[in-house]
Amino acid sequence: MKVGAAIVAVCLLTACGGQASGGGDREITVWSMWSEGEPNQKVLAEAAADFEKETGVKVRTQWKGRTAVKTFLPSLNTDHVPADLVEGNNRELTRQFAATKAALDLSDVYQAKVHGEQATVAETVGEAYRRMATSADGVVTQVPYQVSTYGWFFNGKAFPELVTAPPKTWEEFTALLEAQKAKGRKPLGQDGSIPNYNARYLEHFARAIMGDEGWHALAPDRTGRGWLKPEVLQAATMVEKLAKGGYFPDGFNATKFPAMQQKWAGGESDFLYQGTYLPKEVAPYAAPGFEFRAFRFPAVAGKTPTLNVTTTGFGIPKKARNAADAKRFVAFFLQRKYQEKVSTVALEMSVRKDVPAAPQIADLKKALDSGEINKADVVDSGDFTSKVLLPLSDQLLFGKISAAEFTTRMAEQAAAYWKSKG
Amino acid sequence: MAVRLLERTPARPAVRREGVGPFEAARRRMIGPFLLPALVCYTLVMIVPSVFTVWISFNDWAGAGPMEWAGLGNYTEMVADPVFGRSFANTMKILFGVGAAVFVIAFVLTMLLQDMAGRKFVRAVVFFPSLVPGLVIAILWGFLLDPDGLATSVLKSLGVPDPPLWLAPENMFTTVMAGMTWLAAGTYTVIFMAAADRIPRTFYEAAELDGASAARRFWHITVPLTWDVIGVCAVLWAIGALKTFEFVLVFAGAAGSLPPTDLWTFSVYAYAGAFPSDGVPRYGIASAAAVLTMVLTVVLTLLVRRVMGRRERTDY
Repeated sequence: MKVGAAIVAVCLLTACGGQASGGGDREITVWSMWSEGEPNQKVLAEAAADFEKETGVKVRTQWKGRTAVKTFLPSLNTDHVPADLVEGNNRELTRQFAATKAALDLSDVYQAKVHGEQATVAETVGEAYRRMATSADGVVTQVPYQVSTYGWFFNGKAFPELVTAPPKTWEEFTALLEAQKAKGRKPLGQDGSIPNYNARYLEHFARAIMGDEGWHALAPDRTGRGWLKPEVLQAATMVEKLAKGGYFPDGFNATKFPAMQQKWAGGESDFLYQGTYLPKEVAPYAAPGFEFRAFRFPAVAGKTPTLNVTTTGFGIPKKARNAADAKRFVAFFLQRKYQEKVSTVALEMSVRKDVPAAPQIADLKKALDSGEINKADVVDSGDFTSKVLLPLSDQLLFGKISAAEFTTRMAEQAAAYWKSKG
Repeated sequence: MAVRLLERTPARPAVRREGVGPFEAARRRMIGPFLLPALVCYTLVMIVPSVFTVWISFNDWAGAGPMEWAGLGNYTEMVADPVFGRSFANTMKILFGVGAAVFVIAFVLTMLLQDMAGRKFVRAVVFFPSLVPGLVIAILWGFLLDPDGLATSVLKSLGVPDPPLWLAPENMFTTVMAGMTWLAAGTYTVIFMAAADRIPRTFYEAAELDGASAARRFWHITVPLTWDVIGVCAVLWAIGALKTFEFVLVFAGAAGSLPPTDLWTFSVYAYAGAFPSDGVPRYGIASAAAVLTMVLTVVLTLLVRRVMGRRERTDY
């Protein structure tokens, strides 16, 4: 019976684990997506300590790492959720968290003022990011503080002229690639083992050519015929050219992530289209004197594609024991003081327009602040993407199928996919 | 007389009951209390979750919050999903293809190592891959099989002009299967060798005197006398193969990114349903895939037991 007793004991312990220890002490528990020692963790820890000093509310932070939301969700089935604040990106919080119907609507946080400032949270965060923080059912499940996007990264030391005058059009960029190729370089880094990364070219070409709404309307099209549009073929043809242009290093799709981005940082290729978190990831592998710089995706067919954005921020469960103080902490963390550290210490971009980004990504921040954001990227097509789009987009980028084959197969397989959904 | 004796036989159980002493009776009374903790534990951690999984598979559920009845919807969707077909084919390739390779290698090694000097050392070497977690191997192989990795440079130095791109999409699944073979072959070799060690040497000596070759000795002595062990191994392999998961996930996926669908197995399919990189979790379809795996495991286990059980167990 000892085992039984032990199980009961464990159940009791886990159920009561995070509970406030009675008395008048107020406290909140935060499940953070950062791990101990990360620059972002240091910024958040500092804010938590200051919050404690100013308000007397104890902040217990658990550094869960990137799977914070994933590990948090099952606890929503219990009466005692272990955190008042959970940190995650907008897709996790507006899709996975919101789908449990256990996410608190944070509209009132947006109306509150940022701690010690005149502006409200809504004004500080801005309308675009607020929309990205809203679920399909209209519940505002996240308050973001940090954003990331993609850029063409390069070594500012190797291409000083591009720091001030980056290529504005895809043709200019292709000319640049050709020039590098002529020098015997394989100019484009690419971790071909990650299907999501491989689809970015197609997606950007298509969004420039047919608009964000046009591109995002394709996946939900149950007939699949949308994929036969000439605009899709045009975008796919550009990918085909890229695939056959000899720009990618040999065997770029036969390595394990993150081998190729590390090789790029080591100087084996010149340009890499990656997230703004890239410099932090590859810094240890960078060639001596490497100067990270990035420019946005050049114009395609006369139109610059908008920027894809991922925001990072907080959500609060309905069952939080201390939602009121959790909300206060969110408004507290948006203060300029901490947001500047997001930029200077964590080398990330703050949602705040009055906080400049690190010089490495300043160009991209400017574009974000001006509102050139992919606003149609709110439809959840994750399952379609991983099952239909990514396998075929891989084959297109690897030169296994032509652009025409790509579009017809997309149309066929999209129709089959939707048929399987009944 | 004989008839009378037979007529009296029904009375025998009564005689036996009389024979139960107080010690035996107490022992029997204790079966319940001793069994109960294990039974409670088993019910809590195995039976209840399994039944719950079956229940979830008939619902749409995001992992928490409200469930929505879906009837057989998840099953029909899964069967119609081409990616599920691919996952099924991959799982079968592992089950039968890798399984055949593993057993053939294990048989050959058992045969060769039986009379070899230093077999204990060789056995340790062969067993080594089983000691290293599959995750570590999956990660190490990423470096080893990189186009700039050790495998390619060794082949190049041996004069192979164009070594294969092991991790290229078209070779990836073969590489995964090779990796799994290498991992499992050692384990089964060691089990077979342990079973073969129990066979009295005299059988082999007699066969050798009769002029039987090593292969014949293996086929006519080792195989029949280790048949029960081979049967258990076949069941173990079937269960393991149907659950193939972490090797594929770590070998071909990356943080926050699922492996390409060409490599999915049942378990990866289920995982992708419950833990999508971007979208709403679909525990319903994940559970449906898990239930199907469970059913297949049971069917396959029964089948293997039946096929393997036909051969009489040999005692010596």
